[in-house]
Amino acid sequence: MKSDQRSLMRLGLWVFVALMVVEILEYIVGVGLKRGAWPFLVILAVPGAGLIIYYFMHISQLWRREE
Amino acid sequence: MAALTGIIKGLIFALIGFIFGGGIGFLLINAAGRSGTNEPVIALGYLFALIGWLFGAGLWDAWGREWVGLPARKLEVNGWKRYFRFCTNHKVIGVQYLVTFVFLFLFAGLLAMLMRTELIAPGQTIMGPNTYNTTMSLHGIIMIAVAVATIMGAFANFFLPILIGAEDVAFPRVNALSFWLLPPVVILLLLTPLFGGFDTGWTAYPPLSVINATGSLFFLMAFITFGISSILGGLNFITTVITQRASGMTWGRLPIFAWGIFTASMISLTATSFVAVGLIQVVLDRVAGTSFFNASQGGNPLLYEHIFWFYSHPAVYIMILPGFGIILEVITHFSRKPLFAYKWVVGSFFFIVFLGFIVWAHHLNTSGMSDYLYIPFMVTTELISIPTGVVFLSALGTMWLGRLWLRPPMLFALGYLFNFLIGGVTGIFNADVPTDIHLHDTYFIVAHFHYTMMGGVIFALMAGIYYWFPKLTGRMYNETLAKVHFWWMFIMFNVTFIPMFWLGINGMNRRVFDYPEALGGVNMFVSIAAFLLGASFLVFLTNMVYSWLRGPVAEANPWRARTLEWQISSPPPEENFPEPPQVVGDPYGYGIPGSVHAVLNPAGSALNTGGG
Amino acid sequence: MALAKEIHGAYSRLHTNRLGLWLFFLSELFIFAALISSRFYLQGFYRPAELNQLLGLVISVILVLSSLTAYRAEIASAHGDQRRFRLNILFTISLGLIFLIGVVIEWREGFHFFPPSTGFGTLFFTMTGVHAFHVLTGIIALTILYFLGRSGRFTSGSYWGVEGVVKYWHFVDVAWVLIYPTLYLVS
Repeated sequence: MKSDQRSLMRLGLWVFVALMVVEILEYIVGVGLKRGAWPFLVILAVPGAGLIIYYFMHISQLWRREE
Repeated sequence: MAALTGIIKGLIFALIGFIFGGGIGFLLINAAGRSGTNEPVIALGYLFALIGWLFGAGLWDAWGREWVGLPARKLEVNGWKRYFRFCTNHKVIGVQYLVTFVFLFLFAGLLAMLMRTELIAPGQTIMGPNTYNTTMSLHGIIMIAVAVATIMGAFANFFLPILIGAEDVAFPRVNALSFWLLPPVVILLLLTPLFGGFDTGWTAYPPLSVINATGSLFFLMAFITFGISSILGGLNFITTVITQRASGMTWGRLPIFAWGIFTASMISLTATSFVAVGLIQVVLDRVAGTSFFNASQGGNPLLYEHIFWFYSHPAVYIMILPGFGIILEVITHFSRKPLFAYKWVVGSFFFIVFLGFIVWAHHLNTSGMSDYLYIPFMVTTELISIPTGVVFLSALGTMWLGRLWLRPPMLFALGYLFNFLIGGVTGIFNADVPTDIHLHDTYFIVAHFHYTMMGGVIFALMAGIYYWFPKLTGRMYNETLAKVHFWWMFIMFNVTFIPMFWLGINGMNRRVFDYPEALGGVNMFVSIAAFLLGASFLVFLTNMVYSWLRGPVAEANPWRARTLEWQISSPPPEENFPEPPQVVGDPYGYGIPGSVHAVLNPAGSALNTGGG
Repeated sequence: MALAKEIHGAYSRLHTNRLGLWLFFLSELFIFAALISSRFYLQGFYRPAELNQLLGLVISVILVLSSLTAYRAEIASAHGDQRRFRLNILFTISLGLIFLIGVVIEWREGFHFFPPSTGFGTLFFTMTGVHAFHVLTGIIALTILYFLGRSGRFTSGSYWGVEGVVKYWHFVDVAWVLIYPTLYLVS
């Protein structure tokens, strides 16, 4: 593997770790709280989706013209 | 035969698909132990038949082959035969849309004639309640489709790429796909009467739409298919405007019609998929036994009304924004003046898109929704008069002290302004909750939305047809017949629909084949006026058919207009522009010394456009 | 097309394709928005006690993991690393299939505790069903991608097909990240 490929692969791994943390926290909050979990879930799920959209789907390609 | 190969292949593949999907449906019914229903067979059969139809009609040759590593096949037919094939040229698709929808428009108009025949006297005249309701529903949905897709499908396809100086739309194959999704829609709608019709009107409110005859399922599937076509069209136009503009065609130089299409596409891209969910929920309630709208199982029919109008109110702006675009375009060219308050109009278009999404509940004023929703939705609804007012002021400001050239397109544009004003002013009574509770579901509403839809969108469509006919066909129509058509249609339209306001205030309900004895006289009057209104389209049809075949050859620029489509031959060459045009100025700079819109062959001699 | 490139130099074909795909995602997002609003409109924050929470977490983790392998496939393809590209696509397809098996198990339990004719079941089966349909189409697309990749269709300079399908797969994951708490976890 070339070095930039390796660093991109490592970045993906870190994003995955962050997403795992989000999912597990969501699970703990959702199963643990009997009521009123939804504000915490919003706080967790929306940035989770944001991580995928920004790092995995490269949304910034849309406004970054040079490539 | 080469003309019909695609269609025949599509039909055969559709049949195979139907047998395959229907078979799965049949097995599922048996596995679930449900009997007495064949709707899962129809629904699954249709899903696969649709896929089969698309692949057979040309999706496979143009696209699917690449998915298995084969080169895509180029369409090898030319001339008139292309119009029956999966052709990716935007001009061919534009004509396909225009002809299809003009015929649908005339067909649905005939249905309206049937309805007025039934309503000519109180009591049953020629048809029973079920037939009447199916006729009314078919008239409604076909006209909605005409209003949504004719200007977008025909004129945006044909002229948007030329107006912005492009070779084609951004995704030509998606464009062809969105047209070829339409034949199944038409077939499904025409089949509904054979399966018990559908008596819900085009809104398909549950619980009725869940429990009525199978015709309703056909209608729902047709609506969903039409929605997919509309979404793909919107996606294509947005991308086209953003990425395919000629060099120098900055956002501030974009013709106003392109802005109308761009903003309307934003709505059709997003809101349409929202309503598809509502329709799918009704289909699931019918086919899979879910209970979205079954109140005894925790469902709620009001959910449907919210989802439906979250699309269907913005949908009226899908219809009207391209209409505004055509009207302002025509008015500025035929007043020989720059478009007044261009930037404000563009801003208003976006404001209309935004407001369109937050007004839907004014359709639910008598539905029993939560009380706190009435006032906010009343306020947002009335806010819409601000951006539409800006559009009106722009039209008036453009005409102010201009040299009006009263050719047929301009006449229709002026008729539009008159009708749409009445439609808009009567809308205030529907937006206000206290008056609307009285007027809801009466002929007042019918008259109101016919003033905006027929008096508005159809007049804009006619303005567009008379404006662009020479460019589309390369031939000129008969001016006298066109003017006769305008005055006949304009007068009879008003004579037909003004009395309907009175009928509505006096308690005549919509969607009913019968009415109180006392309203008989006015209804007789309205019916006769409606027949005369219908007859005006015979003039239109004669003029169009004759002129297309035998009319005098049109010049490249009969209106001496400045926008790009008039600078190339009529009809436009295959590639639109021999060389990429260079846009250097404002499209509407009439009367401004030295103003130039575009240079058509930047490299060669300076053949400038505009001036006039 | 060469001509088109000259005219619209500012926007390449690739950029146009990306924009179209993102607009498609935007449109799709409204489908899931309508489903999520239906859930809250009809059922509020209700969730049945019989919901298999552990299974829900496991399939969520599997789908996120499949996003990682899809990402690795795209990066490998962009660098012309065909072997690693194909391997990761195969991983992604397998994880997608495991996800679908998880949904089937859920559905079997669901039929028992909250069948689709009941209030919560209606939403549960519709939302997971619509999502599983997206997963299924994604798997079909990935399979096509695998075979195209094996026949050498993609190079490090030209891999729009890979990019598009992988983006779609990530979008399916985004949809699940939003659906999962909506269906399983709110209370």
